[in-house]
Amino acid sequence: MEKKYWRSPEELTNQAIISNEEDLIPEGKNLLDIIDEEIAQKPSSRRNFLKFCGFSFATAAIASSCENPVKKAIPYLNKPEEVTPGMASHYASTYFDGSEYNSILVKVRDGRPIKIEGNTLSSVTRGGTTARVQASVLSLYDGSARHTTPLKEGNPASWSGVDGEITASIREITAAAGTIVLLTSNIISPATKKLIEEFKITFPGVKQLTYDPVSASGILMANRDCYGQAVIPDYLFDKAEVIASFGADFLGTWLSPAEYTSRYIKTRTLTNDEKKLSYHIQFESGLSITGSKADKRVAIKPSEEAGLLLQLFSELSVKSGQTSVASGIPVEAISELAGKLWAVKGKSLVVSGSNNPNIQILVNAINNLLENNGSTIDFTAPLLTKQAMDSEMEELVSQMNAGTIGGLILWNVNPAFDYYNPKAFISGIKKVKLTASFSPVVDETQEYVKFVLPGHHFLESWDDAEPRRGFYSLSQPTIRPIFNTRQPQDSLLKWMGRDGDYYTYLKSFWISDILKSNEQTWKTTLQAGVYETAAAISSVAFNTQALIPATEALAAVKKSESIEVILYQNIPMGNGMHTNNPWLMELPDPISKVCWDNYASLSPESAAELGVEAGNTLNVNGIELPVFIQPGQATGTISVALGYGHTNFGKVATGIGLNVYPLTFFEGGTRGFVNSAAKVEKGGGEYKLASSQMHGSMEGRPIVRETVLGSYLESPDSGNELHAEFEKKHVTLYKETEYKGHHWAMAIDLNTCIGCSACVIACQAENNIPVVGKDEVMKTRAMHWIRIDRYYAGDNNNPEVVFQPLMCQHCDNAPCENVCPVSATNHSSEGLNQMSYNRCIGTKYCINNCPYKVRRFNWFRYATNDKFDYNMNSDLSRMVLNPDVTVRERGVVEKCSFCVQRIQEKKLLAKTENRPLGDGEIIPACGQACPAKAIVFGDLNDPQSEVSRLFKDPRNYHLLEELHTLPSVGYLTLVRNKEENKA
Amino acid sequence: MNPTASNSGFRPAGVLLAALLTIVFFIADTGSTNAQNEGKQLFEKNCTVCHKIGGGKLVGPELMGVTQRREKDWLLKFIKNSKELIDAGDPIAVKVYEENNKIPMLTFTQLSDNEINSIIDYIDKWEPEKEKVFTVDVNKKDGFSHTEILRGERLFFGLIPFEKGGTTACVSCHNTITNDTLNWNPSARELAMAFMEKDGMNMYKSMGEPTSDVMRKTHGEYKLTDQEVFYIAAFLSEFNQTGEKPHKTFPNKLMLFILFAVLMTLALVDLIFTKLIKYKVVHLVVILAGLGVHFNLAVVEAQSLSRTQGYAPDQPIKFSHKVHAGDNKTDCRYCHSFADFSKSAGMPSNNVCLNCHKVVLSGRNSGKFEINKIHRAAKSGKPVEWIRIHNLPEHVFFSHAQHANAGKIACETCHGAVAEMNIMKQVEDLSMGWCINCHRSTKVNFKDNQYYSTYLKLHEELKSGKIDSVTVEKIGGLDCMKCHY
Repeated sequence: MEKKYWRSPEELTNQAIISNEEDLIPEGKNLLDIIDEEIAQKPSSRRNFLKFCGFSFATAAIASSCENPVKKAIPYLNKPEEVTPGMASHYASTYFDGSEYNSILVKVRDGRPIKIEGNTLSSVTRGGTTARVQASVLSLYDGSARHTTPLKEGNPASWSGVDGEITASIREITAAAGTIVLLTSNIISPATKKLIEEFKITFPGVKQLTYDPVSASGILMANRDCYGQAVIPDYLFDKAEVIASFGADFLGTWLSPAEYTSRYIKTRTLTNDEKKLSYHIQFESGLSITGSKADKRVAIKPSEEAGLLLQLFSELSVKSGQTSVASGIPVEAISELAGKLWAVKGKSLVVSGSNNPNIQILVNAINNLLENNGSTIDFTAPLLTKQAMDSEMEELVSQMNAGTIGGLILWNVNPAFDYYNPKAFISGIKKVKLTASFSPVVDETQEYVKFVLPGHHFLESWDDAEPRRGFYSLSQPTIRPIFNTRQPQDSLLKWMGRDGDYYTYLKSFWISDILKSNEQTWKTTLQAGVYETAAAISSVAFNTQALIPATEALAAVKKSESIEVILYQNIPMGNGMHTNNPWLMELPDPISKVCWDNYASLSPESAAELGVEAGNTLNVNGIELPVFIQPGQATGTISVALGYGHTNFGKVATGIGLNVYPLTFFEGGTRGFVNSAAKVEKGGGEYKLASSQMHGSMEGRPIVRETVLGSYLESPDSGNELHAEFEKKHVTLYKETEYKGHHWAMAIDLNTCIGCSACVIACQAENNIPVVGKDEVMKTRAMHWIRIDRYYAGDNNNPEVVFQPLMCQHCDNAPCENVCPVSATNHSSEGLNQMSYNRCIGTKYCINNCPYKVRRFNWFRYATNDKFDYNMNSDLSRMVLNPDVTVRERGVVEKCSFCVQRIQEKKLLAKTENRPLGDGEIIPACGQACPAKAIVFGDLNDPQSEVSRLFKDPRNYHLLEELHTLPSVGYLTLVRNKEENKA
Repeated sequence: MNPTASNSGFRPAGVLLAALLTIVFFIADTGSTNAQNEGKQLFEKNCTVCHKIGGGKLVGPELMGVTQRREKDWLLKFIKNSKELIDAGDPIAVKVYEENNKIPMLTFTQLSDNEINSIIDYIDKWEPEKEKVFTVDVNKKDGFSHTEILRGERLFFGLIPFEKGGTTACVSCHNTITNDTLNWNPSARELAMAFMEKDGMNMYKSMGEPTSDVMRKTHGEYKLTDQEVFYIAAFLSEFNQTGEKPHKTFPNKLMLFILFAVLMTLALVDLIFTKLIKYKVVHLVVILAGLGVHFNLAVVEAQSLSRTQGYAPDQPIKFSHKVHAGDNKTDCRYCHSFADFSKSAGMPSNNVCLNCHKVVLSGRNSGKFEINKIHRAAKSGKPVEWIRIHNLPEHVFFSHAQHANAGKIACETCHGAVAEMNIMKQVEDLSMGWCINCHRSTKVNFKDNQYYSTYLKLHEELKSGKIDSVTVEKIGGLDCMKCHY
């Protein structure tokens, strides 16, 4: 029953961990010898001692004649009504980067946005966020990449000047019956869509095309054939009892992860009164967070997917009494799945991440057979965030090369970087007469563009969004435009010769077309941020005609014998739009724990076959990728993350990682992300990756406790028997501390934590945590206050995965507090383990004595230091800092504070309103950001509070509770929906 | 009138002055009679709160041309007691009353007919000010000759007398060095700046016609010739560029430090080499005393680093808390309005000042000069840059709302008797010890604030008599993370 957990293949096989050789102590010597030698080398004498004495007295003398600097207090000339210095306001807005949607609240302090939180009023994202949404506030202050003014041929120009030239050029081209293409990313703004239609009427030669480097064309085409509508239906994971996913990372990167997570988690939690779990099976090649959460994960080669789905379809057909179509690969997992799916017909869901329309048609057929259409798949409110058809872009590039395109206006797209054939695009764009880009930041495509007309950052813009049909939301500016930029919509209005700005346009459009109401309703809607029109779930008739050619095509697909290269979006970077964000760059990938690079993930077997090991490079079609051995990676496959390898994208992104978009290709009307034709061989180079994986290993103690559903239903404390045992042993000779007011605590549900790392970035934004860079991460000096430990268990080729968020445990009997010589860390009367930076002298004893390894040392001054030129080194980027949290100096220790600034703020609010503090009123940054609501914070002294309830749950346990540290953080055991607790 | 034409001496400068004729200015016609001066003064004193001439409607109607529109006798009656006229049903009076939102005009029965007539006369004869341009090119350094500047300096410092009398030198009221005593009058530098600004004050005009009661009183005896004003302008222009000399304090402590360092060295030298003094106990005493002084200095000074008890810097406006909070009993929270709900109490924005000073244009002590700065800030769009007095270190998070609102601590507890301060100063040392001591002794309003209802254990202890009151310390007031995070 005892399970073995391990954190890396090296640990499993008990190998030495590779580290810098120069850091090692030479053999035959101990540390004291080395120190003695160092001292002996340095000249020190009584003379020096006296010099130091003299110096210190001189310092005192100088100190005595020091003058205090004069500080100024400059009030407003006319104070805006809604701004109160020292108090934050929250504005409802919308995040949409061209593929990912989130309804958000923007926290604004003294006129500058500093933090993004989820908007709980939205029934789409339900208050959850993702790491990229959390980090987007930093890109507002990106002085290295943002354009400060419009450019003409690379030189600063004036708006009126470029407007004149562009309108003249558009008129000229349209007069000559030429075509002007507006190449946009997915547009989900109803007002913008209407505006573009009007623009097309004013200038008849204008055509709008949508381009998305990682599109959902496959699904759109399949649904057009099967249901007559090229839309993505709404997947109701919360209504599914059996979920089968074929390569769809729906918790991490697929379509609308924040939304799907909040739904998925409803069926995966045991803290509500229903003691039920859904069954989730994942077939995938690279290990994703979705695969990690699955009850059963099957590692497959991408070329096997068609065969497995065919087999599933054929077995289900047999069950339904229909004639079986061509059968695929018969495996046990599929027959088992078919049985499970059939048993809960109408309450199951099959999804696939493939961009192959035939596969998606087959998936539709399976869902149709299972009668999911209309129960877990809804066509009333389809997802609108993915609209691009890959064929449109393909056609455009050939037209550009043929010279039939007169003008190209790029809007939030960067094809020179992310098109599969950048050379064709570049040669094409050179033949276009009028070229312009609305991009607010520098990118690779602008080199070939005549006019750069920078748009606002989304936090400076007015806009609206319709992520799902009938679900609207609004964006409002939260800061005055920092640079001389202009919203693209305003540019279009200007060129059309319209009076009034986009705000007026948007408002009148909403009042007349969406709200069909008055100005007052507009104001209340703007305040809420969302406007939703609920409608009943509906199904659409399935057209079986589409199925036959699809199955025939798929039956011809054979399992590939060559190595298949899978190009995927990882959690920090997505499609590569946010690569210049240092927070995201330093966010460890939830699975591999590697940051600051992309790499080739290989299974241990494949690595052996290719003769490479960690530290080597792999040559894939001439691209030298660092090798990373990934347990769980399907043998015969290589996964590489997209979005890295920018050549001109700002100071952080440029030159980091390698661009693997050129490995994608176009085939059968869609873009392919699995390349089985690539030439893969061992590379010549050596390359070290920065990984936080080995930071703070927990030495094989019962850190993660888990059980299976059956045992849990029998006895709720299954897997957690140790807890009761340890609780009995908690006796002490000392007087126990009494918490007379509040006793803050946190409960984390390992069942619902999906490892998405939104909390890590939220914490970084809230608590002014510095970015330290790749070299420092390699020295285990990353500064994150919350980390997500990822443990593997079982088979090295297909392990089980556990995510465990870990921050300061705020132990009531804290080992760190006893060893501090200056009492810089001590315990508060409310159970917080306090850290007083000004008292800290940096002995690091506390770090050594902390069994959880959650304390961080400031080895350098990270703010205003040219060596750490990330986000704290310029006045502009420092505007993102939270004024309620100290920026730490060099030489002090820091750690999670349970967001004490938020605790204090809410306590004060309750006091001034003369009422008791409500449960759930205080939400730390990590808990707020969590799309799965896995982190619950509250007062243990309040017996009614949620956290008290969870602490009494038989699943609750504490980390290393046998040490009698009495942590204030509790974990709820992981319960898997499988037969026996064996990996 | 040209200043060079009325030049009465100092010929040597004449040639240079002729070259300066490019600086053109016109002086207002000085032919106004005494009666009109009286009318003007009365008008400014009684009418400007509600009326303007040639500036549009304020509270009451615009007065330009009113003497043409209405009979003088009617005006006299209306000014004296408008209510009587309205009550009597005078059609014009009723119309005026209704046109002005039915706000009745104040009665002026205290004014004699003659006085009212002089006001009417003043309005009648009033004409818009002609374009008066007085530009002294402050950027052009050699705009004034050395002799002119020197002469201006002498006049300013009272080294040579004014031609038409006036005994006190300018410098006795208008400081040329920064100092920390309260002087209500603008400093020389401020004057210089005000005069040199493009749309600032016209020096000739303000010296000829004092603008406020305060100035009228102090400048009454001066009758400066235009030439003298010109010289002073030259000096001020120069002074504006060189700036005032900072007031330096003698570094007493540093001297003490050096003295003992020297004494100790001498004692050591004598002890080891020269051996002039036989009794070694003398050396010992000198060295011990020296070390003691040094150590004391180091400790005391290091402790007071960044502590600024008693700090009372000169502010850009001679704002008196005594006048506002003391004499006029303005509530602290009227200006520092966020104290109840924000961390920061807030510095009043310019528009808050203007709430009152739109109407109150002349100060009791400082005349118009200081209040004008608010109007100038509003006009120029540059807010007043106050010097911050109460500075807490950056790692301290202090909340005014917590103390002033939740804790009901009076402002004076920390800020001292502000209502008696003409110059704002820091009374307490704002050290951590001071904070902690207060937290130890201050009692919390435990029973009345519902927030504390969840502190069950403390309520039990109170009931059982184990403790008689709850201090801030008991609810965690000494926790590090109450203030440092």
